[in-house]
Amino acid sequence: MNAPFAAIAAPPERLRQSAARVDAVSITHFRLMVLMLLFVAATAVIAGKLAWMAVASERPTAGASTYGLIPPRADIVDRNGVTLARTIDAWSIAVHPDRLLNPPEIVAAKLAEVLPDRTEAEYLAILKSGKRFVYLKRRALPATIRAVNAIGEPAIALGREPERLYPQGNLASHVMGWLDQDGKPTTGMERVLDARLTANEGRGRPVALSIDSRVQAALETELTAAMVKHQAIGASGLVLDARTGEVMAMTSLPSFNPNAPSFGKVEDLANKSTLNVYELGSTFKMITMANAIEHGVVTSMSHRYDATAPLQVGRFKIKDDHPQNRFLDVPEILVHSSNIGTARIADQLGPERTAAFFRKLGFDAPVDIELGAKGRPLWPKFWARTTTMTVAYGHGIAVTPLHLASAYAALVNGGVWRPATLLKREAGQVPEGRRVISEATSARMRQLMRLVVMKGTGRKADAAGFRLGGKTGTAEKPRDGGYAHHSLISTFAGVFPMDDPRYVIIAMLDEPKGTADTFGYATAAWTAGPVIARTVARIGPLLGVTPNLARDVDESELLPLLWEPKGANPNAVE
Amino acid sequence: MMAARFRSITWVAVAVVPALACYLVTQHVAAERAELAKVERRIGQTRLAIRNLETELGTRGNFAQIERWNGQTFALAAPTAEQFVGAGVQLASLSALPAIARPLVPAGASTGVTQAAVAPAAPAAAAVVRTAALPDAPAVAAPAAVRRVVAKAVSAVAVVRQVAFKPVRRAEPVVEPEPQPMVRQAAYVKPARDHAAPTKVAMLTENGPLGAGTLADIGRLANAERGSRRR
Repeated sequence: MNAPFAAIAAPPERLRQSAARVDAVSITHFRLMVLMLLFVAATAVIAGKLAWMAVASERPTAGASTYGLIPPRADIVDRNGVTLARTIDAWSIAVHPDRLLNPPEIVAAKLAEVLPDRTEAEYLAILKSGKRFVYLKRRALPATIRAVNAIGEPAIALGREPERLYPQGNLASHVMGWLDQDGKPTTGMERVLDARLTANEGRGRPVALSIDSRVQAALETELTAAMVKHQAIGASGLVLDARTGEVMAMTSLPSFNPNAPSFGKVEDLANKSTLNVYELGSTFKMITMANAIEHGVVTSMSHRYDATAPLQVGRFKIKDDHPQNRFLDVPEILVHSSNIGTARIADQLGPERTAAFFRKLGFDAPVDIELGAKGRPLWPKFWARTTTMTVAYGHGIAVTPLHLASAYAALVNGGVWRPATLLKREAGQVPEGRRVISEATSARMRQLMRLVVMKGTGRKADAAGFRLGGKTGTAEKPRDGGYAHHSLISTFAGVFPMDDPRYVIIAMLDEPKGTADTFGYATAAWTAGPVIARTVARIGPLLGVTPNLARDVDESELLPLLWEPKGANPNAVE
Repeated sequence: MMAARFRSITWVAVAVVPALACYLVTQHVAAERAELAKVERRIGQTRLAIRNLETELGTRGNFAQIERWNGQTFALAAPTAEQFVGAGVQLASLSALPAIARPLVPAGASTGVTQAAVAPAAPAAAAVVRTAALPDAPAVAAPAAVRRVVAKAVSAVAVVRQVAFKPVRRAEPVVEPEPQPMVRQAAYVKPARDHAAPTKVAMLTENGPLGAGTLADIGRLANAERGSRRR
């Protein structure tokens, strides 16, 4: 800084020297300045970078830890969390025929060896087609992938793509439905819940159905066994929570595998429990009786109705399957499943009250459940006197098995009808429902149902200790304007435990044949009844119903009303 | 002079060094964060693997497969109503059934399950019930008596013993030469040590059902067994 003064005061030769020094100093100053600027720039860059990092880097969100865990479609689980449907990354094998490097004949031969789904000629046709992309197999096993990879053809593309897997296979397949090739739902709960399953929020949380897979498995096993034994063409089963309307199990046999629905028969894809309507026969007698008691048509259990001879109404003749040929009181009408007695009571009820009661139970509309495929009941077009009489014992009106289950739930649960559901209902979500019969009538119906299983046609369904009650129903299939006498629909509608009704269980066999150990009978008592007994013994403990031989419904006022001829075999089942 | 010349550089240094330090810190933080992200990714991958394994396990062990094992391999059937036990009394009555010849095993092991289940409710009852069930011949009176006693929740040990011993008196001639019941008897004697006085007074007088010789035998066997169990 004081260099200029030095220069002025300095002698000339020193002045020259000092001029050179001034140059050097200024150069140094300049260099220092550049260096400083560099430092400043570096600092600014660092500061800028720091500031940018502070601003730009966002906090790690909670979702970051679920990396790769949000499936493209939510899982479906049963009420206990058992997976029923899940999206997995499956291996797929495809080929680009236009990019083939090896001779197609050799590749086709090797492919036919590894993937025996198609023949060698078919593979050759695919490879020579010149297409850009052809799927050879989807959802392949790792071992297959390894073998295909070993072929060493670069045109074969191995990829991972989301696939819907149903780990339980055929279990509850009609409830689940399935996805088509493009991942679009076709039927079942997959379709009903599609929006919820694919919505961005909630894909990570599975949807819980009301189904209990243990119950479902037991019901399907026992029904299948009975179906095979009696060579039935189909079967349908239901377990319904009588208090909440939740469907614990719903099956339609033969079932299909939703993992490969194309291998099943088309007619098996229909859900017999909600889509097909049947004349369910004598199971309707309970409904008629509840209606009659509720409306005061039946005032006394001991009132006797004439069942001495078939009832002639116009051209129509009502007969009994197990004719007693005597006067029957109310419990006896149900225990012996008398059409004549029921028809007489229905005649007193009249068409208006019968139709109104059926409407209250929802028999005039498709069944109330989430599923899309629902059958419309066959409701009588004209209520003649005979119509009133026949619908009373389940002929001339056709409903789905689920209609019947909901109705039975209402008859025993204190008289409140609630819509059925396939979604798990929490305690607070149970709908109010609508009252169809009084509490007192419901109590009487519980006694009557238990009596039928204790003493009547339902004896084969009695699972010891489970206090099962219910009613058999055997109906002939309508055919060519009349009835086919050897094509039966055998149904059993039961409720357990009858002293505190929890579950309605229905088993229906379509066209069962009699066997040697049923003495040729194909009626519900012999075919559907044993299914109920075995299923209830299995599912009762699972559902928290402990069998107890020391408890039962109080039948003391009804038992004396049953007359048994002397010397009759008390254990005979007609 | 020098200090003055380097002052500006010093200022620059003062500015740069903290900045560098801060930069190092951020680098460190970034590295940590990357590490964390990697761990989280690994957690995610592990969860995915768990999910895949669960799926595979669930598919291989689906209900159809379990049904096949249950029905065909193990031939299992649904439990009947008799197999459900509702209360402790019912449970106790199970071991009071007419005794079938049981293999000679140390007490405790033979009726282990029943005993364990009964014990919390009525500790004294366990031993008594076993004794009553053991004499083979006169098992007619014993079960009823024992059941009644157990129902009373067994507080008075002396009374219980009285009831339980009655059948032994009648069965003595048959039972005595057989070593097997005596050993079991010996196993029972053990709890009686705590209440030695009432036992002697109530039952085992000189001219009572069990003579001095028998008692000595029982005692010897009991001692032998106690010793063998200690070893």
